[in-house]
Amino acid sequence: MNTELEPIKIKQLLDRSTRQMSGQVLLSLSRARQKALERQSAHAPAFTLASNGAGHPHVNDWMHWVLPHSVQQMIIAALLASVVVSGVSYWHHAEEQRIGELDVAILTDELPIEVFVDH
Amino acid sequence: MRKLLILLSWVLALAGVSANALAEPWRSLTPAQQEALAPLSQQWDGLPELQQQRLLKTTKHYPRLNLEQKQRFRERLVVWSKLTPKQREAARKKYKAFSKVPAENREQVKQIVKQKAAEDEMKKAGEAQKAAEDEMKKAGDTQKVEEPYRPY
Amino acid sequence: MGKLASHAELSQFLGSVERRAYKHAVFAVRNEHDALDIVQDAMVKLAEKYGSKPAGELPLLFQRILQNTIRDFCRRRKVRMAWTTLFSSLQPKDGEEEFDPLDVLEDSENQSAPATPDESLQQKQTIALIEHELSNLPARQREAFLLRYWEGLDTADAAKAMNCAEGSVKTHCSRATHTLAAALEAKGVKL
Repeated sequence: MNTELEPIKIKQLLDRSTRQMSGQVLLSLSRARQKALERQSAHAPAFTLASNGAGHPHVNDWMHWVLPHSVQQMIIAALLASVVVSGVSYWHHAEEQRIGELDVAILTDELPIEVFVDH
Repeated sequence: MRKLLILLSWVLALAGVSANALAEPWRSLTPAQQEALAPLSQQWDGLPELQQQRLLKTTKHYPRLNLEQKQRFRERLVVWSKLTPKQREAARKKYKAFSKVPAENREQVKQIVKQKAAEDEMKKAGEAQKAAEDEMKKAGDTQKVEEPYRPY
Repeated sequence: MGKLASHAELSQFLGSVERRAYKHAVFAVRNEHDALDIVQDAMVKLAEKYGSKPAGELPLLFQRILQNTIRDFCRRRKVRMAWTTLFSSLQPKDGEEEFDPLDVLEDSENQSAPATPDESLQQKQTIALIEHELSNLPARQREAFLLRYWEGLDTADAAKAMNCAEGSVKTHCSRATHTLAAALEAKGVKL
């Protein structure tokens, strides 16, 4: 019984197989490679949220000079709040819309409701 | 800083309130909505607001359904509304997952369900027939017992 | 720390590994489209997360990412497939209908043997058989075998890529080798 399998021969055959791959697949692979290269990160992320004013001294100075601290905080908070609120209500609306569509689908599907319900 | 937090929480609370509308009594529904939700007319006023809202959302799609779908919709409404919110959520998840399955596998499942339903029907019919036969047999037996002794 | 991998170095590495990566994936998921998605996914992850690593570290990092991506895909697919087994009589299909390369072998056995063997056809059939058998191996055995013998990783690196002990790698490898040897023997194929 031939239990002596030479992995090197398997490797050679597999290598040959990769040389016979279809043009279509090779094209897709090269596209994938391009996509990856576009996303290559060149360095560690330099941007950090500096809350102690260590980031951009110019901007901080300007803000402090023009507006008092508490008003500055209020504006930022109000902006944040409005963004959050509109985001939340948009998401909520969209979510309820999706649920409505799902419910109708379940209630009218060819398959009986019991298929999807755990009792 | 404290004023800030109060302002923020107010704003978020408002957002929360506007997201959940108030409860709608049955009589305030449009005729179209009442037609779609007819099987639930009795229990409607007792349903939680969120459940009412979601059911009302489904009625928007109702006019576009064909006859068969409308029938299924109304048949399943009561069962659907009796489920717990958790069960409904789980059913939605399952349905979503199922719709991602490749079409031919979905078809296979449908066929099997139909087959099983047909088998169940036949089984039921068979059992009903057997029950009827048993009844008749019983009736026949009691008749025999009650027949008065007739000496020849 | 070595020099950071440049754009050119990453490009060169990906170009050298992409075909084998595709094969790794296709043996595991048996679907061309899914395999391509997996390879692209793995390449992007490598570039985004480790694009700044020294070029010498890229091969091992990539293998680990690739194997993880394949495993994640299979796990997600198992969940989807579970839905097609709502009823026990339904058999789940594993990926799309594929041309079974063994059919080619059976056909050739039935035909009258030519006077001089067609070497390239025979080789094609052997390749098809090996790929078929690799596809049929348990995932871990296939991973270990390909990483050791096709990617040329040593046991330590293979263990890192597979996130297991070196002993496990050796076990998986030897089992895979035995299974492949037996399959080739059974079909009377000599390498």
